[in-house]
Amino acid sequence: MIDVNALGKDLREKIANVRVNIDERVCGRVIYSGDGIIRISGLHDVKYNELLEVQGGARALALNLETDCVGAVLLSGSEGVGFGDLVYSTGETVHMRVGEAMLGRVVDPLGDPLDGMEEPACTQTRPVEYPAPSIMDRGKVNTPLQTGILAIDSMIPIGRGQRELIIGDRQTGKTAIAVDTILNQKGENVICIYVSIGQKASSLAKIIQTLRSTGAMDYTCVVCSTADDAVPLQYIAPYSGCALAEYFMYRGKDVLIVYDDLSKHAVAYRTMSLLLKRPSGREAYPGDVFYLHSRLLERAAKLSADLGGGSITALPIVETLAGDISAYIPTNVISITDGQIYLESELFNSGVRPAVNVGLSVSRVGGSAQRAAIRRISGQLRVNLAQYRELAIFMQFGSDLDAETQKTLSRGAKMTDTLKQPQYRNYSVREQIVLLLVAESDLIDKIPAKKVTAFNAGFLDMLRAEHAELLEAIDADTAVSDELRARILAAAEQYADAFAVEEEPHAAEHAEEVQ
Amino acid sequence: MISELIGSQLLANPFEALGLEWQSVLLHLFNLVVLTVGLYFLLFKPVKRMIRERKEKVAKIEKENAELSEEVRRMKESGEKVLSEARQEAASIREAAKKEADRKADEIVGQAREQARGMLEQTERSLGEERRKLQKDIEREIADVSVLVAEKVIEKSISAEDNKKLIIESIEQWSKQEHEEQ
Amino acid sequence: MKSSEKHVARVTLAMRADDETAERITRFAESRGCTHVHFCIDPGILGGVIIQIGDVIYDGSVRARLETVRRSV
Repeated sequence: MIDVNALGKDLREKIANVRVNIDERVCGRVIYSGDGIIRISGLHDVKYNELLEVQGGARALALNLETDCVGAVLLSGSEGVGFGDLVYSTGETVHMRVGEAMLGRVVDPLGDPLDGMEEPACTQTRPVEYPAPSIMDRGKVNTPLQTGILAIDSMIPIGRGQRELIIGDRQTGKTAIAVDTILNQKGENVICIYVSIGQKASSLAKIIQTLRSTGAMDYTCVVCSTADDAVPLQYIAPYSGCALAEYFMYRGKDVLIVYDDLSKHAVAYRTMSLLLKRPSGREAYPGDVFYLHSRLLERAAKLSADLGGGSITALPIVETLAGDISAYIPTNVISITDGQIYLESELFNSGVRPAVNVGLSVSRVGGSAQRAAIRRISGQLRVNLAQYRELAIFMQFGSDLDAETQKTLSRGAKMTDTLKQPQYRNYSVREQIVLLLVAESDLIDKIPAKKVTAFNAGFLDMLRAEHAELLEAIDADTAVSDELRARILAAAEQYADAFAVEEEPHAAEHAEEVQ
Repeated sequence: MISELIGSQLLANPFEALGLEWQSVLLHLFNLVVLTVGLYFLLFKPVKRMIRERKEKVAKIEKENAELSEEVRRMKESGEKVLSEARQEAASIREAAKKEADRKADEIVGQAREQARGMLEQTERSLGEERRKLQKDIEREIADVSVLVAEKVIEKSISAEDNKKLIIESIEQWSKQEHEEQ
Repeated sequence: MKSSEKHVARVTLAMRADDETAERITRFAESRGCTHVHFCIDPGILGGVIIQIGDVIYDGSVRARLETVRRSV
């Protein structure tokens, strides 16, 4: 219950502590207010990006400095701000609260809590806009960041400090990949920051629920601006998320930051720019929309050892319309990032999940950020899959196939099946190595088509239960020895035989059911 | 009488009595010897050999028999061994499965417990939040009301004298700040 | 803002000021480089004085003080 006496005492103390200062302040007056934009006459000394305080407590961000007026966007709604209201300059830019206490929290882009708990006990703040590390401050990206997703870790490896774009149409599992990656960082000593920009509150709530229930919240901070938040809040959300990430990076920690998604960010910025009457360019985006994203993504870096060797790995997400990756924002972000994971709705609908289009996805950091064991095995993978896809298209013409072609086709289909992976089921590095070894061996021909997924799941279960020592023996940082490979394949063969027997009665039952 | 006569004759000269001569007897004997020797070589030897071979064959068969039975015994033994091994394996598999099941069960129970704890925490948190919000609302309300009251009182009671004092005080403060800045 | 406004001080009072107070205010304004002083009465500020010179505002009103107290609680 609420203690009324304590309340009164609290209040009295607070009033006693108030310092009434009647000092001079620089101010201007609102001469226009509408759509979250205010124009201010006066305020000649205001600086770009300065935080303004409007009479009545609202805050605004000065963005347009003109000869006779200042254009600013309100960080909260435009209600309560009227013509003639005084606007004070504060002399500081927007700051984000930073600190270890932010982990496990859900906050808005200014660092205020949204999860119903007390204010995070952080003493430090960081400017939301901050210059990216210079060239000399950067180190080489050479440590892998395991996503736990076989298709990505084997063919599109992501390194700590890399910026890898996740791009695709709506409903293709972009966020799922990002969330899976966050979940996979458990015990990896990586701090995760999930920035939601203009997302639906319902889907955001679901993500937070997932992170909470899996314990991922212990090392994660969610910075959110939902679709109903003021546009300027959506605009600064990724920058404040990045400020928090920088705090950890400059302390030598590895940070993973997900921007979900940058196309909404661009839209928010376009809204602001159009309302501020800035000249618009292609697709009505303002001229500096490239800089908008490049200055954000440049802040993701791997620091040199002298600076503690921390890193920010950025996973920006961009939503395309009808698979059009040559639209303005997608091309911009593709050219800024070090590679992209391209998701296709066609693949998604045909059951290939994650729906990664291997042909169009690349990682420009490449093999240097891949575990040696995986690198050795997966070298041929990409080529084989490309070959398979080419043949698969050719097969649609229904011509007769020779045995060799048929084998390539069936192997390709099985490899594609191996790369399928349900959500929230991350593979460890060792499991990935085992799966790749099996999929590359001749053994895979034994397993009936369409049973590969079941076989893989069962085999991994069996390995964990009965051959834990085999899994233990795999060293991810050196190539798998021939002897170990043989032992793993022997175990797989044994299971494959048992699997075939086990599957047959099922098949018979199934046939009966069909009849 | 006659019989007696024949008997005595027989006794006196058996060969003669029977109408045989001792030379022919000798000849017959010699014949017999020759015949016996001839037969020995012609018949007895092969038969003996046959018998020997037979014996050998039987021995071989017996040996084989013994070997077979030995093998059977061995097989039986190994079968038992395999069976017991299989039993052991089955037991160990069962054990492993049970362990796995236990582990899974523990995991599930742990997860459920964790979830329950999480839910409890969440509820507690939201309760706390509710309380804090309420408290804040009350505080704000009190502040608003007090300020309103203060405004009304001041509006009525502020005197020209007080006002003047306030104004001069402020101006002095601002002038002082100016000097400090300079 | 027109440049002439830099030389104009806008003074808001709760009630008509006596000559001495007015004199003090004018002197203060002149020390900030003002040539003109506009007085206006707004009982809403309850008491004290608000002086605006160009971009700078000096708020010494009772209402502002009350507002500060209310906001910080």
